[in-house]
Amino acid sequence: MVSLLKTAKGAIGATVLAIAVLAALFADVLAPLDPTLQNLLARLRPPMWRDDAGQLYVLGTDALGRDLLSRVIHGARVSIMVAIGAVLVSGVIGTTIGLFAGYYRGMASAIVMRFMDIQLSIPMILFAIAWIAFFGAGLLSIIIVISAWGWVQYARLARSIVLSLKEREFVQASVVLGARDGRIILGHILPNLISSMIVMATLQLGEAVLLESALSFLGMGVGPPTATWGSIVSDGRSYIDTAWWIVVFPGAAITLLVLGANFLGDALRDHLDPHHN
Amino acid sequence: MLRTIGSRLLQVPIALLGMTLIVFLFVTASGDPVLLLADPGASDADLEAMRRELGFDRPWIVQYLSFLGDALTGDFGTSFRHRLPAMDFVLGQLPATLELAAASLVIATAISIPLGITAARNKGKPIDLVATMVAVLGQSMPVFWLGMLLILAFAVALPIFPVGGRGTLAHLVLPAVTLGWYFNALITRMVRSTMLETLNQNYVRTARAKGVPERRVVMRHAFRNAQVPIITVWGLQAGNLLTGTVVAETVFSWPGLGRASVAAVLARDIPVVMASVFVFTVIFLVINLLVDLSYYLIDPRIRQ
Repeated sequence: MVSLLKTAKGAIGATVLAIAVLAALFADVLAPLDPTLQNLLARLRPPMWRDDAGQLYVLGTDALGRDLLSRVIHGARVSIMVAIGAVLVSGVIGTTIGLFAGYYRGMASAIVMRFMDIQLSIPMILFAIAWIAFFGAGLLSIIIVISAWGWVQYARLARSIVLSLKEREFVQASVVLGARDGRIILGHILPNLISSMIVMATLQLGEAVLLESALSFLGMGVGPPTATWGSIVSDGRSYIDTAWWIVVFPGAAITLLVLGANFLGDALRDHLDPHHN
Repeated sequence: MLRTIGSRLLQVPIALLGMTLIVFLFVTASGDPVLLLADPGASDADLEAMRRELGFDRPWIVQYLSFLGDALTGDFGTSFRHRLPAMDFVLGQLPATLELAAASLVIATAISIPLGITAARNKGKPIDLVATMVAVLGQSMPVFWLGMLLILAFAVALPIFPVGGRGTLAHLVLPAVTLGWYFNALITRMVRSTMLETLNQNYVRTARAKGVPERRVVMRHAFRNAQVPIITVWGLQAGNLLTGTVVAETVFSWPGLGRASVAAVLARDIPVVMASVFVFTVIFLVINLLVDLSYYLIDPRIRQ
């Protein structure tokens, strides 16, 4: 773990993720103002604007006079919750399915494989839109949509690793010794699978953040008045010729978070999976 | 190889059935379309008559089967909003989307392949750093944000290109660059890493040793073998291309199918939703089939 943080990529990635998680956890304390507090007399003020009471608006205000910095800090909440939720749900489900599909090769395994092929041949954005039109655009709904899209990647990777692990001597040896399936799976297969799954999960964090922000931007994310980075950018679209800051800052926050997750994922992969080099 | 293509072709009807069924269920269950269609002042009796006329009084399974039966003859019903045959409407929107997707793939390929090859041949030099930055940034920026930044820079600050809409070549530039940037990043990264791998192979060393010109070594010996993974990326990204199209069309008010299909879902215009799902799924499957076929063309080992 220490050597991981010594690489520049690992250190930058871990720092960025930590900042985003802290912002999400302590948004109420960190944000200078209430993110939903409107002040129609202070609409579309530029960054570093100060009102008569001396209150500083570091990133300026939006079209309803709300403090942009506070909205961006609070926006980290939805991104972090959706990303962690979706990665956990899809990671656990995908790894479990992939593990069993690789370990027991029978009818059920073949059906699961076919199902994954078909799912990969379905354009997920349409599924996502239809799901959200039906179930509404709550936090849970978005986590489910992103998980339904993401689990296949874990399942495929887990299955292919399990298939090769089964041929390894230490697994064969415990089969010969008469170990039960449960013991082989939990004691031998899973521990050798987990590091690849963690790398996959870190890389998927970034994808989940991007997908959530795209859905928010299209008006299908967690609805107002909750601030999400995608919806702030979308709100700023109408004022792009006068108030660039509304668009620029939340988008930069998304990019930084995704960049951080990708850096950490790359560093983890180099660290845990020497074969990959 | 023929078996792979055979099983791909078998997947087509299954995927179409599965996708249309899922979307049909979601869209019918998501609310009463009649309430959105009727005048606000319509009486209950009017609503009931409208439901009967449009067939919404039947159980959903009957509705789905009758949709399927009609769809087989090419009839997807009439759009509730546009009062045109749904498939005609969808096919009318399709050229704009294909134009945007094609332009963005051309941009992505034209930049990424030379950039990736040059980076791999100059590993660790400044050009390699540039290629890596392009790849990393391109994969981390949301498509909609890049689009807005381009609008800020090249339509607001320096009014060179229009902010949105479709028509002239100038309208195409910003949306195509926006959408192409992400694929450019992916392909650059892929070309760079596979070229690094193939340039170290024994057959490349042999070719150099026997005095083959460097240009030919790179293009014929190394790059040819790097093409298979690149094409795999293309196939895997077909779904992301679709997501990107929806977003890019929204940012630039591009009158294409991506934007129209989102609008149709939100307005519960079921015939248009079903027709666009059908068209998107077919395009998606065709891309995957083409990817499989091109493996066959590029890699003689697969032909055996």
